[in-house]
Amino acid sequence: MERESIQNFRFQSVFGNDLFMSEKYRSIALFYLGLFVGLVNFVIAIDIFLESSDEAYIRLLLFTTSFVACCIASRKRYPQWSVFFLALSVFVPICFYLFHSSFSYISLFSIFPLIGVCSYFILGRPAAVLFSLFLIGLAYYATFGSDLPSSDNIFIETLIYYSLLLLTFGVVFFVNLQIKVYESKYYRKQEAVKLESLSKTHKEQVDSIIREIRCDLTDQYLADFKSRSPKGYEAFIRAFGRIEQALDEIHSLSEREEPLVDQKIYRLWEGDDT
Amino acid sequence: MSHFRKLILKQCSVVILPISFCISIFLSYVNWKYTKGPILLALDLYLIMAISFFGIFEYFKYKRYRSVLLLITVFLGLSQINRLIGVGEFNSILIAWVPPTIVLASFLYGIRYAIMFLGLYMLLPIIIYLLTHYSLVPEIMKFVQPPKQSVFFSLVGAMVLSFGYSFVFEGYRKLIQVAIKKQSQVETEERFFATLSHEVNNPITIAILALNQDSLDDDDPSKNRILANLMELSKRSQQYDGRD
Repeated sequence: MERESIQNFRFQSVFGNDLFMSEKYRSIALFYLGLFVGLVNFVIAIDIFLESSDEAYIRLLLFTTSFVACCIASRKRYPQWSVFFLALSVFVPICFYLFHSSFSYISLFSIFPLIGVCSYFILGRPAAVLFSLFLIGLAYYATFGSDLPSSDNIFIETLIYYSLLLLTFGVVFFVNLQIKVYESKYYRKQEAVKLESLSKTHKEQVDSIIREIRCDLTDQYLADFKSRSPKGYEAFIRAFGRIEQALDEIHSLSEREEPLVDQKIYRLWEGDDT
Repeated sequence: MSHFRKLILKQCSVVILPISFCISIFLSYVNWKYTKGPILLALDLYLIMAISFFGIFEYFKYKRYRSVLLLITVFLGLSQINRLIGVGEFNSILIAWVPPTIVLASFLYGIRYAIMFLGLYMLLPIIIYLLTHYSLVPEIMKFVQPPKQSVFFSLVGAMVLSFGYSFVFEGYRKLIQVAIKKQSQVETEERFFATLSHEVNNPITIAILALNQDSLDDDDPSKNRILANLMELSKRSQQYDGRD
């Protein structure tokens, strides 16, 4: 357990220690991204294989499919490895297609900025910088370093174009979803923490006053009070008991550390203790 | 638009408008000096330049920040589509700028605004095909694919832009944290002390009345101290309740 937390800490220190995307939504995003990457790769590799009969594309397809399968299978128990496999399933085909130039590399370039955005949301800013630098290096090589002629394949380019739009929609959707979840989660957390702090401060102040009153309520004084005014004495004891009970109840609410503790106080105010 | 998004839009405007102004000046200069491109290519740059200048002026003079919406609309809905139609194909490096811009637009103006552009770009290949197939694109709009250097630097620009959005999102998150903390504090205090006041003040009043029924001399120090402490307790809860 401790070892796992240390590994997580190291991983998060390198790849962003304050993720924008929550664990739950990251898991869902990894599943859909993996599926999407696998499908797109499958269609592209099969199409080129049918045209060129080059077995390299089948091998690429097998590699990519296994990466995607590993990514999806390990996304809950080992999210770090899941992200690693997803990165492989994206970068290996991109490198392969750029080196082989089986279609216009410009259509691949159009995905690069979106990969940067996705890597930021899934892994954090340092990962986005690393991946962006890697992609820029690749683009530089494909633009200036490679002598391979650029060929056209309208089907694949159209597929990449619409995949790009679909991925953009996915990012937009997940970001909006995440913002809403994040806001509500943060709001509840802040509410509970603040309430606890307020309650503690107030408890200290009120306790000192109650303590002073108790010091003055000696047995002798209470006995005299009872003998002089029995009704007043009973009313006072009842009222003082109610004061202590109400204060104890309010203060004990914050000690339970429940997320919706403010609602309990609200219900108490409304007179509904259940 | 939510309060948070307005605040982040205000901060974004200070960054986006000057940068777009500088970039549009630079590209206009390049187009005039080297490319000798079609006039409509330069027209959208002039339009972006004018909007950016107007936005900066509006921001500092009238403290308004509406121009980013107009800028994004012109960039995505007019400038990019005009250029893609001019190139005659959607397989262009210009497309690299579209997804990050749509993500930013959705962030600042909501998901519906982004979906509107996504729908438009879904239709773009068909529009381009129809326009080029039936030769409906005027000669003045036609221009060739940019050279390799332009492709690379355009891609680097789009990558930098996508990385810049991480600052926008981080800023937004911090803004939410601060704003919600303040809101949470005010609401919690009000609710908490209203409850406290109600639950405690009634018995305090009863206790004070009961003590006053005591026929002992008012100069009794114990009774006076108890009364004073009860009054202090009552006063404190009333102060918290905001009645004083």
